[in-house]
Amino acid sequence: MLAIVLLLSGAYAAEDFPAEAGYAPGGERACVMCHMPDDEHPLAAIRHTPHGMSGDPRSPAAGLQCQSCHGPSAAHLEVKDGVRPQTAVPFDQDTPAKTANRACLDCHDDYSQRHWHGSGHEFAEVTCADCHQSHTAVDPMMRPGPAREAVCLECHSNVRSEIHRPSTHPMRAGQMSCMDCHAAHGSPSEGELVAASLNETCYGCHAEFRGPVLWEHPPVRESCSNCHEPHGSVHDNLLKTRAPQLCQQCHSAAFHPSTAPDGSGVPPQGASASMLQRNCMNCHTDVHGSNHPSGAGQTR
Amino acid sequence: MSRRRFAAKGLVPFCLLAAGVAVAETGEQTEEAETGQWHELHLDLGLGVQTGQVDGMGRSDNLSGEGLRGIGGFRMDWRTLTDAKEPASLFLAAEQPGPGITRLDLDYNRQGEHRTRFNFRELPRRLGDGRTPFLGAGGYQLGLPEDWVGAPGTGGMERLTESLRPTAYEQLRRSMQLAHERRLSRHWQLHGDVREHRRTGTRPVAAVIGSTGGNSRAALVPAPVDYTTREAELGLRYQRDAFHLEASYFLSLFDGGNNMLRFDNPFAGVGGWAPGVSYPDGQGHLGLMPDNESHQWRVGLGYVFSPTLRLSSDLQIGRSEQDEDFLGYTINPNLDVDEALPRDSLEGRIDLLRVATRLNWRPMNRLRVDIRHRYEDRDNRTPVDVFNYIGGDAVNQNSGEAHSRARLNLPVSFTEQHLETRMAWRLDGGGQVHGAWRRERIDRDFSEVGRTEEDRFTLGLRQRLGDNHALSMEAQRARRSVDDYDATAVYFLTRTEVYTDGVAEAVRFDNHPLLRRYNLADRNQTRARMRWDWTLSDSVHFGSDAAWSRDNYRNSPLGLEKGSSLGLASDLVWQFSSAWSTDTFLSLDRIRARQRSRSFRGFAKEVESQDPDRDWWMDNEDRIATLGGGLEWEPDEGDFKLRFEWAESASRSEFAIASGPALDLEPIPSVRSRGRTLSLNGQHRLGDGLSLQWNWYHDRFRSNDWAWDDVEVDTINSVIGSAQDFGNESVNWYSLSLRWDLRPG
Repeated sequence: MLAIVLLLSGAYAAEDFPAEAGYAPGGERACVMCHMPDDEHPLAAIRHTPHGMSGDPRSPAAGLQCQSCHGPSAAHLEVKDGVRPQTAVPFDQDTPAKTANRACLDCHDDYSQRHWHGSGHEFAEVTCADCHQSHTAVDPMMRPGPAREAVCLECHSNVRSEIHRPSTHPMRAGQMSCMDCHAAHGSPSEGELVAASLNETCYGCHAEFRGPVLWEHPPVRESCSNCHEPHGSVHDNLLKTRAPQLCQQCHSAAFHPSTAPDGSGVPPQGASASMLQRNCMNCHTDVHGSNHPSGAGQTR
Repeated sequence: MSRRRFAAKGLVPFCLLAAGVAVAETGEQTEEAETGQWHELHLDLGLGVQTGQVDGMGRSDNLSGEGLRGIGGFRMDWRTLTDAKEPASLFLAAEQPGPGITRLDLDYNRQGEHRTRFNFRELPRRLGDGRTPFLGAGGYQLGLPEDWVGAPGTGGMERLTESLRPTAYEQLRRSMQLAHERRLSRHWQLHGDVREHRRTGTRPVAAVIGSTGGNSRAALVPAPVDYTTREAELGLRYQRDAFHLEASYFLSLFDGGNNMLRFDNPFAGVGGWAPGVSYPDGQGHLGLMPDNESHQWRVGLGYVFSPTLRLSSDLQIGRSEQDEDFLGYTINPNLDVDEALPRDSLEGRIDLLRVATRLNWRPMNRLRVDIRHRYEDRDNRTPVDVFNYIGGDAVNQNSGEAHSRARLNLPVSFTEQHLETRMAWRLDGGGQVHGAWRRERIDRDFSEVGRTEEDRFTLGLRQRLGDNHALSMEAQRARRSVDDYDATAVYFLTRTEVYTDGVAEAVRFDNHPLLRRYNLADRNQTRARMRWDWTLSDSVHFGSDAAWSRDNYRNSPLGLEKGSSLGLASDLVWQFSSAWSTDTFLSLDRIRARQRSRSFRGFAKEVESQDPDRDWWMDNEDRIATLGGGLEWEPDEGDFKLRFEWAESASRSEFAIASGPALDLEPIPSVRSRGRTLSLNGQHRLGDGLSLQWNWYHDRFRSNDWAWDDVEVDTINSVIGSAQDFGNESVNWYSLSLRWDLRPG
């Protein structure tokens, strides 16, 4: 511990902590006296992060250090009536989101956060600190792995359940990330997607469906979500409803498209090609669209 | 399997090499790094064994299959000294931690100067093992055994059972990405990104012969998947205090491999087929995914007028093209083909224009106003022609255009606009009341509906109740209206006038004229959601969530009439000591839909389509319960760490079907599924820098689904099935590995 204190004391020699504005003198040297590794808010790990790199003039460590983010906190050094006042910006639950986020956006309000303002998270007053950990050597949000998804699912509890349904994207096994589809800091699209539209997002992994093709299936072009539930479904291929019912919600032509899919098509009573195995797709295999000159029925 | 072993062996040397290169590049920091700057450096080596597999719905992605195999991993996280003149960090991880996952991540960041990232993922997906009588599974030419006996249906195929051979439906996706950002000056930054996704394997497709409900036949066969998508993006950013500008170019090239799957026709003696198309002479063919490409030019700008007013806008101009040579109308030389293709390829082109604008205004300290507008125009410029198609490689082409097989393609286009205004008022105590109005308008070409318009109103409240409770509520009401639903529009647009003029007026339709497609129908939608959070103490947090939604398709005599969903969820996090913590979640969901249709046959189209006694309606209900959680034990001494996770999901789908008196329907059995995943991970410290890690992963899937259970290749008379069975499976994965902490002392 002493080594850390000494190391920190030597590392920071900044002297510009204007007392008239309420800044504590001594910068981080003062903070580290209490925020030791066994403290509830240890300080040492932040030195391994971009925020702790005093060699970078843009880093808080090269400026007002802890008070770059926590604000002028001279009062925090003194105990009055047995109580130690909080720092100016303590990032606790009483800190308004606007204030807490301002501390981050003072430096990070650049092109990368252009869509943050007015985004779903910003509107809901989610703070940067709700997801990011700036005092740990590794912020889980900055590394691939289940810890990152856990942060998202802590609030999006409905998605946490949906990814455990029988048909899902491979999120359960950690092979896909929320961030593969969603931009948590906002985007121009609905649902804060990484691409400009839902379909463009899907094409990122399913470019085979981008088209155009000769025989288009119009709802496919408008939105993949017309038929699919991206987070999970009890029906195969993430379908909203089991086929053939799903198909029959839009198709009721003569013969099999309008025929009631009843129990007579299910073993042991029968074996309907429209109900068993791939149901409608037993023949209409190119349901996303066909480029075959004889594929008007999307069967080839 | 061999590919994966190769990958596992190859990753570690690659990582070490890459690490060496990266550290050498930092030059002057190397010495400092050796004196304590390694933040994290681990090497894992061990063995894993897999028993069983779960294929249902691609549930458990474990292409490696059963057996014993080596596992390994390497992880390095390195940062320069705090006061380094050129701060930098390097992260490198290569892992093959368990069944079905191989990944490599590299991230080198010269803070404030440039950053380079590379990642590689190998994602297998199993779709289940099946059986097929075809030879050459996975290739582009599927043949039948020499002693094959063709028949009109599977019941007459005498050699079907003897000819079956196992085939695996599985895919392997490999993704690579290399991204680089470089600061050119104080205001300018360059960024580039190249990606390649390659997917290989097989997928089940329907090899169809014949063209009508009476004479079409099909076989579910493995079609090759050999997709490569290459994407690149290059952009330039400019930034001043109040002004951001970004311009970039994005390119996507999709290569679908061979565009045709040929197959021998296994059927024979089917009425209505032309001579020479049945087994053994006839063949069928199927078009596979055509190559396509997309170019997009993007410009984004942001301007901060004042601390309370800012504007951002994104413009995207793009073009998607597809011009792969057409396959012929048929592959069977025995069929008469009089009419040539109208052109050799699609010459498909879609022009895209997207503009998204957002204005954020805080006129008062407590009040905020956000206005968003989004415009998307998808202009399909693909030429329209008459294609005189041949029904499933089985019938002669009809000449001329006065028949139902002369079809026009529809270059589907639409223009979509959203305008949304949101306002929020901040309450004392950190709460907020908010409201929003959103208007959506979609104009379509070649559709039953020219325009749909929807107004959506939202009202919400979020408030803390004392120190320990927080409540949020939101309600939405939306009304979508259709200008006019022309149920026969697509019928007339896709058929020639000379044909429709010859059809009796009363039956000039495909879909029943009373049908309203749900994405084009008048709809009222109501949604509500409530969330309650209760912090019982510093170590216990409880949350509960309820969501309800109801859709009412108010003018849909046939089609989807209504739908609803109800979801209840709760979660609990409890840190009951410094060493022990747990979290659990429970959710109950119910999803309902009611649809109505009318059964009618082509030979009695006019009469039966007007007979309400032939109506049938179905109520679908899905109930899903999910329960799970985790338990973690990490004693303060740090010598031991244990993590247990569990999730159980059960679903039940009910189908209640009823009809008018003209139909006699049988009830449909329910479908059930149950999935369970368990994992137990332990880490023991054996000594300085050495620890033992073990892992058990269990995934079990049970389903009772009449669509797959005991459905053999010959169960359906007109379709040779794939014999995939997803009913009762489980997989276990056990691994044991040693982790060396290689950080210098």
